[in-house]
Amino acid sequence: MPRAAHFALLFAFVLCACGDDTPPCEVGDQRACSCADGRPGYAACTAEQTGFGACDCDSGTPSGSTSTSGGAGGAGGGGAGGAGGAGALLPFMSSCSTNEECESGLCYDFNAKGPHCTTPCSLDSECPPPSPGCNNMGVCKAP
Amino acid sequence: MSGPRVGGLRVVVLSATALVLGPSAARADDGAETPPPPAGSPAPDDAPPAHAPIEVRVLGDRADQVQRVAGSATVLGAKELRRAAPLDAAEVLRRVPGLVVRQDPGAGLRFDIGVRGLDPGRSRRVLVLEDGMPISLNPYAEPDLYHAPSVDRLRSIEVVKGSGSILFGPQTVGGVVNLLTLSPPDARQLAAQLDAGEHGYVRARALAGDAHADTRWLVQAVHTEGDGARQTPYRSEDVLAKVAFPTSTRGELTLKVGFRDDRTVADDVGLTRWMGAISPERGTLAPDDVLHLRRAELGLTHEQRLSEALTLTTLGYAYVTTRLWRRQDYHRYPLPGARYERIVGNVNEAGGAIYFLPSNTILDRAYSVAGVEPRLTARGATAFVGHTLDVGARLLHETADYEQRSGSSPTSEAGALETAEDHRTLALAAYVQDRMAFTDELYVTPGLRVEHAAFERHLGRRIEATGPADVDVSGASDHTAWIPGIGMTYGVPEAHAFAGLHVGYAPPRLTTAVNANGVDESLDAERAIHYELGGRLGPRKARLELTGFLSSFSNQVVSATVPGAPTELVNGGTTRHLGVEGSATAALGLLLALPLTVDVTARGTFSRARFVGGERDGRTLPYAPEMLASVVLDVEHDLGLGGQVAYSRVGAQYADDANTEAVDATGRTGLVPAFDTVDFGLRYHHRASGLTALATVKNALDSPYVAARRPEGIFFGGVRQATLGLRWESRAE
Repeated sequence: MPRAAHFALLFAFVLCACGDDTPPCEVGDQRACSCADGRPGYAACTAEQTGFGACDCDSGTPSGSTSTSGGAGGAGGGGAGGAGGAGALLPFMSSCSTNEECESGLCYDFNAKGPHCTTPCSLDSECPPPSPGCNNMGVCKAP
Repeated sequence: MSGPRVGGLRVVVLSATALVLGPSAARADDGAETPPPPAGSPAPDDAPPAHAPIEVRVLGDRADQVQRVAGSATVLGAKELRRAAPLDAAEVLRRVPGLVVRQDPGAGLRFDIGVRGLDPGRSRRVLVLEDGMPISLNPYAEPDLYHAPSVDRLRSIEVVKGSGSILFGPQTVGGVVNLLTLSPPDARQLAAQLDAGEHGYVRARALAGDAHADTRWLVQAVHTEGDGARQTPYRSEDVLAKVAFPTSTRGELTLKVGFRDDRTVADDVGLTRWMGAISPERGTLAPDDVLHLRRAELGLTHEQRLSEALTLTTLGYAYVTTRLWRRQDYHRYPLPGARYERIVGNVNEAGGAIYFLPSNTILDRAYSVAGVEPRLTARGATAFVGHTLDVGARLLHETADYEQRSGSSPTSEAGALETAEDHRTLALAAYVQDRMAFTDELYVTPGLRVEHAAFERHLGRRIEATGPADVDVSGASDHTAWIPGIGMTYGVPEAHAFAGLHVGYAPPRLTTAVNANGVDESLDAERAIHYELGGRLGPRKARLELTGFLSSFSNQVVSATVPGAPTELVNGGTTRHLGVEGSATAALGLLLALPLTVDVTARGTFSRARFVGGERDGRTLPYAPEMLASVVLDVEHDLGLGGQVAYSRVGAQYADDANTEAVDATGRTGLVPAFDTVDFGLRYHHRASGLTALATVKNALDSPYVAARRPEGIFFGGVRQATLGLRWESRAE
């Protein structure tokens, strides 16, 4: 067989032999769904990663035990985020050592005042008391 | 074009390029025997074409010109690019000492370049030029690079990090990377290329060029598409056209027109710690996040030889970039009452999951840049000192229009307007540099650059406490900087030492200089003093370059390492970067008298970039690996068969300024471990037909590594990419 034909075969092999073996979902994935009675729920990826299981409309939003009533969101997509949550997490402007301790999910180490739970911001009005406002680093200042 | 004029033009071009790079009085050029190339210099087959292109370079074509560069300098020439058969420009830039290059894990449509411990984020700390012209979004107000020039455009890459970089601006904190594009040929040239490989990779290229009388032209179109290693499909079109023609018996103009259109899945949210541990090869978490970038450019370079000793080179350029980026909204912790579209990760670990909302945020931006830069080069002598004087100025105007909209679905590209603002910058720069040749061995090059920029920011809509509202807020800010530098070289081309120092400067980004209330924040610009000391040994069969460097920043702007915070840059305070970098090349084929070419090149950098003073004292800067190394072995036989093995290692890095080693649940902080990559390439060139067959395997180890923990989470690299290619080229004699 001429060399050109060998090369053409190899070329075709590369073009064709790249099958997609990506599973339809990953362990831990859940997606929104609705039950027969119209209630919203979430369906979880099966352990075999073959697809999503039955719709669970009784458990609410899936979350861990450390965040029983929710927590704060990280800034997502350049704009999403939020505040709220309670449970065992530290409230806004508490002293902290890790992000996980904060309701806001953000423990920021301020230059002079040390680490405090805070939230991202772009305007002073986004920072509730006792924070005096938003700093140049895009987080609510520590009092 | 007639022969005599071409010859004269070559003299002018070579003189001009020599002027740019360092002391190069005519006495050193005239009649000098071409010495063996020093480390990092172009190899003989990288010599300029018969008709040297008119362009601005930071280094010259001739090997001995690198000898006069008072600082670290590297050229990746046509031969190195051909041998590497790179899929993207980042792949070859990784081989430059002192550079940290992270290529986009998708198609390499973007890259992040850092220098000697400077933050590589969006290449904003390095001045990246194409044919001497800036290519970032807004060189002053937003020097981010959101597209990597197609590697198919390039014929050579120059990198300078020493005092010579003050001839270019506005940034002089890192270095200058000048990407030189294909030049119009002297005779008919046709080329075609088709590559295909894993992950749906396809690249198709067509090129045509010719010369008619005194006019030369070239057109190239490249299409690239693929599924991406992380299931991030992309496609890109890149068109380059150039025409060069004489404007008089002593002048020539090169006109360049380019167009780029990228559409790719581009996420900013990476894996959490849990996801990274169980499935590092997992695809993107945000498949609906799409970046659509379009760029159109027009550039001209005119050179007028006013006399034997006086040359005027004028650059003019204008380009527009539009960038629409939609990104799905998400929370890291569930909010009561929120309805999520999907949840990924481990919900039983705080921060281990990501909750995606059925909405998105659309960042719609448009940028424009226009500039003109005349540069006068004069050669002369006073007493026993030869002078080569460079005097130039640049006027640049740039604009940016931002809109942020809230979309009601993850794929929305319309949405409701939340914020709107526009920026304007008018900048004037001027510089003078005198290359003084005291003897044939001693060159001293003092220079001074001044930069002045006037920024304006206007907000038309912003998010108030009650929601988005129209406003009319304006602010302005001015910055002026004096940037001196001096360099020297001593020795002969085969062995010489160099030293230099210069002030590093980078204007503050507009959004940090003028706050959202329109107030001038009076932020300090970025300032540093850079010192270099090094030497080059250039025997024919083995070459060596070694450079020690110290960069002392009185204020360095660093990325806010605030998890969850908007992307912002903040004053990082005083930092110090100390290190050594070097390269060594051995022509083993010549040394061992082998019947084939065997070249080995090793390059390495050891750098310590630390905060000095304050609460961060002694800590290492984020994303500043202490060690970088690469080794390239290339073998080539006269029959046309060749191969290359390239190994590179990037040392461990911290992801935050607290130097946190433990990985947090979100994956955003913690050590980024060292990683290794190996690339293989085989090629066969059939001279009679002009056909070349290529087989390459990038990331041959196929071992996932943590490439970064930002913008938001872990991004893995290291997925193998095997490609086969067929190229054909025809050149008329």
